[in-house]
Amino acid sequence: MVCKQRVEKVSAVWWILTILGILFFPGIGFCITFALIDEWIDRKFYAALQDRIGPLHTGFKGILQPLADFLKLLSNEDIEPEAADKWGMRITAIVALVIPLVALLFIPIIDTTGMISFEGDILLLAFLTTVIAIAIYLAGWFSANRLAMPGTMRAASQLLSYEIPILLTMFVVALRTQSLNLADIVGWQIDHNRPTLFSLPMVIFFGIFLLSTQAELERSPFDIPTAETEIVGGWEVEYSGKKLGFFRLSADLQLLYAAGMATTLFLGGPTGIELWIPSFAETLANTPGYHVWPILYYTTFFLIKSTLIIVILATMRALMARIRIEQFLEFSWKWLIPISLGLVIVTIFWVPWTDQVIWSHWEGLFPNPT
Amino acid sequence: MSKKKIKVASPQTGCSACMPNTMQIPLGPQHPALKEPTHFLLEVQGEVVVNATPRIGYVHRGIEKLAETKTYSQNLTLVERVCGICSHVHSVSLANAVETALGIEGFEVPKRAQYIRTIVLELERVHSHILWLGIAAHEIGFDTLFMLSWRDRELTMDILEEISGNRVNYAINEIGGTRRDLSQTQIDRMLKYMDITEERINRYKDICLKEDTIRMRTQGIGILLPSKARELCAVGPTARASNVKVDVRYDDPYSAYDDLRDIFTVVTYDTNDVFSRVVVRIIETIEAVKYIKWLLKNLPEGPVFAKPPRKVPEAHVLSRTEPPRGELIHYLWSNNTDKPYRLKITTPTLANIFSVAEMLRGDYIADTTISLASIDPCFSCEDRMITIVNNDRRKPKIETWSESQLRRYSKEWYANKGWKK
Repeated sequence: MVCKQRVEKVSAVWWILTILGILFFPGIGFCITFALIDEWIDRKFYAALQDRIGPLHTGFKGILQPLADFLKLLSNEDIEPEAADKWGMRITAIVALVIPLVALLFIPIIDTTGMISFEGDILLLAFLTTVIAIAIYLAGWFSANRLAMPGTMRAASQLLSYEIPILLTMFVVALRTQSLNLADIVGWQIDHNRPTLFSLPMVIFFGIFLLSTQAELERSPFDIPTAETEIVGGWEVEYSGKKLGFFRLSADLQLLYAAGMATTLFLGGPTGIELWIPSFAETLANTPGYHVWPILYYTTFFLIKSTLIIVILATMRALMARIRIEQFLEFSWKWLIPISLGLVIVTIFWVPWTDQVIWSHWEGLFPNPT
Repeated sequence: MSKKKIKVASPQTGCSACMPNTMQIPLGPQHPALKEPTHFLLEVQGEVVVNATPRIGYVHRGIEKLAETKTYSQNLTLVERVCGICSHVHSVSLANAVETALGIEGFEVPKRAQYIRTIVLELERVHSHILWLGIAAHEIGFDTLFMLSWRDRELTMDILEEISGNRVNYAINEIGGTRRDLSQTQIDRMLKYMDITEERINRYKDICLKEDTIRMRTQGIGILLPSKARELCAVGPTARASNVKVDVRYDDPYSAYDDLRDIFTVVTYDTNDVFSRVVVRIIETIEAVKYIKWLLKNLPEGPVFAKPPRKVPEAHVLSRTEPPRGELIHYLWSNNTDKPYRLKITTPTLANIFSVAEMLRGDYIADTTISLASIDPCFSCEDRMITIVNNDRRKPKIETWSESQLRRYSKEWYANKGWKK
């Protein structure tokens, strides 16, 4: 759709296509639809692990249940406490919904390039994820509730502990691929015939990224700021109706964004078999039909890979009890951050050497037709 | 804010004045972790609880007063409704009290009936402890263990439904015996189900002893030292987890527990924390399964019911039993009629409530709910009505109601159909 060549030739058709792309596919409409389906997959898989059935009645095996939940929340009464900062509450709810949507435009879904792509977009994404966390902190702060306060404080102290490993992971991938652009990171993986995941420190970084992501999404075992049985929902205790619906949808979108980010950074983005059969990309580009087949192909592979990440995250959710905030801080500052820092050094000095010794042979196995 | 209201609710407002930098966080009466309403006022410094003040009495139901208006047979039905989970033990306790009073005139309960009662008592313990394991797992955010353990609890519930006809209030007791007998098919089925249950509980024991996140959340919190447990009169698994060897089933056997004494073990554990209570309850469940199997294999022949006389001779009887939560006391004062003159019930949660306040002190806020849940609380059973005359606890003042005052109050109450003017 929005290819690089066309960006240079700004025309009316390009504008229409871009606006349609942002609104429907692969923009807001597609992302919200797939985020809701992701929630359904997450719930179904989580239920299966617990020997339950999960959502069942709305739509095919309950696939419309997340949508029904969202619509029901929209129709609920919206209660705002007297002591709360009402405009603050409203604005944070909207900000929390908008930011993941903006961030999703950068993720390569229907092409090896995202809707928006420029050199250094990975820095902007790092900034956006932190803004979501700050919005959550402010959401608790504005609601002026006795039980929201501990939740807010927990969210703030948790923020520092997971943001640093996530940033380190993003930058280590950037170091590995010598690029600060998501499209170039995907391109590097195509050029080198393997996802970034396939080298020793990257596997550990993949684990660190998933753990930190779980903490960022506030899901068990790191659902400490919203612990329902401890502090009655934490920062979201005063939110109801539309605002709660926005926060729930925002959580789904963040899940999709995190899965997309992990896919792009480690699993080769939306690419499929052309990683190993380089001539396939050529065939794909030359198929008749106006870009429909490449779009379908890339979207399918993106959905498969991101669903895989969501299934891993759901398994993690089912396997552990919620840990305490100080245990999480200890875990993060004593293990996650030192290990990631050490592995950054390994990546800088050791990985170029293995590239020369081992991976050059690997790349020799896949002769490029050009 | 409702700060003033909360101060009224707290009996110890004097204490918050001398603790600087404390914030008051209410735990209850409405809280997702509490299945029944109760109130703890937590004074916290940062995330650490420095003081906890319990307040009970939200679901007082006046069962003791109601019991005086009903016959003994009707009262069995009534006292079964005291608790939703340990319902059978209440009716056994009252039946024991009445049968002891009738024993003065030489009345005896058939042996087989005693055995069937004990089997149901132990089945109740199994399902109650598994239920508690699920709730505790839910409190620490481990929903998978919650779902799986409740699935396996259904086996025990199915047995109870099959032998008594009901899932919650079994109504298998009658004064003088039981209403239903066990057939051989039922016994075989129970033995089969108990084997499966034992296997599953052993698996949960493995999980709880080895899973790191469970240990991280339960070890070293909710500490109740043995000296404190004795001082605060803790009962049941709460006391046994503090290494205090008390168990009414062993110390003062009732029903068929006398015959079980040879194979009976009082399970204790000595780490004094929530983990200790988890271990004690799980091992107790395994033991209970063992006792059920023994009782089923040694079930004596004979009738299950002996017709008792209608009137109970004048007596004061104290009946002690051991529900899954601790010691239960029924005090019966009969006066040679078919209705009790006075029935006094003290449930285990009331005995353990001060232990909870002690456990909460020094915990993190995150641990308060699991500490509270670790005594397996049942607040509707234990509620008392308290009239606080003056809000300042440092200058206590006790008000006694005279009989004429009470009569006037009851007349007004009934005239307004329960609504205050």
